[in-house]
Amino acid sequence: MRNRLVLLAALAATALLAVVPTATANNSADALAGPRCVKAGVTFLVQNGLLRDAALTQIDYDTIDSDGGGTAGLINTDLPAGSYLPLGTVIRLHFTNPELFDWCA
Amino acid sequence: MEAQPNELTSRLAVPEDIPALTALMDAAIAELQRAYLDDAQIDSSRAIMGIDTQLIEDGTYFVVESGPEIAGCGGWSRRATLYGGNRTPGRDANLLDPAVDPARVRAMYTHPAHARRGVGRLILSLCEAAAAAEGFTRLSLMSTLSGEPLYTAYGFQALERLDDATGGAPVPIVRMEKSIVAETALGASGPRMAG
Repeated sequence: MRNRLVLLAALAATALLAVVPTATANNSADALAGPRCVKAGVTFLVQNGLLRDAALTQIDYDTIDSDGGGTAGLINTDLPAGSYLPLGTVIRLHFTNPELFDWCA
Repeated sequence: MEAQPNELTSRLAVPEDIPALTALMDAAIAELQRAYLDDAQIDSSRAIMGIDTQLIEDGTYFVVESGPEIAGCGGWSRRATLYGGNRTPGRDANLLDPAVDPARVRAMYTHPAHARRGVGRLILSLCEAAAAAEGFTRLSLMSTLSGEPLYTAYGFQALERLDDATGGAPVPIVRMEKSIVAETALGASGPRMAG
């Protein structure tokens, strides 16, 4: 039950992030930015042997975020502990909020 | 990262897997559809299901293993064929345009002994990541009735319900689609099939 609540909290946080409009997401001139961003993220997961864990929702993304919400982490926001996000959610954020991901810079 | 015994692992399928994958598909077709189809429909469904070696050749077909056993398989495609095996009529190998077309999720099967352990969801996640990295923003598939709950839980929406009588008895199938870039439903996974 606790894990479920943590996950729901994490999802709520990321859902809020997803609806924040960004200049990059709205730039239709660069339609390939999203796929490039996803590709970079998938490459990171593959190179670190994490793709399977990500696909099984077994990665706590809080362990690679910036905590303070700055740019000191691989994910540039402060996620709650136990942010085991579905890979589909993470992929969606690569399209809507690429600024969150270090590998999309 | 080392997988624990009986943990699910994934890799791309290779031609040497074809005999084992064919046997797995036969078992899945025969057993996992029993709650939804009668015997005639199960026999008929073999005409519109089965292995599609084009997916293996394209490097878009995954094998999921649990220890030494193949627990399931499934993949995605940048080609127009929506469902069916090598012998299914109406195949279309034309390449899709990621800007306008949905990528296909194809040939999802779980071995009955590994049912309801997350095999299907693992494959779907791998397919979604791979298709998104190639620029696709939507996924589409043709589902069996037994597969529909999994795909619905994963965020797919039913668009069209059809009967395919290619193999004789009409087999109910459901065309489904999911956005990669928009919010989708979350839910439990389960072992199911897609064409």
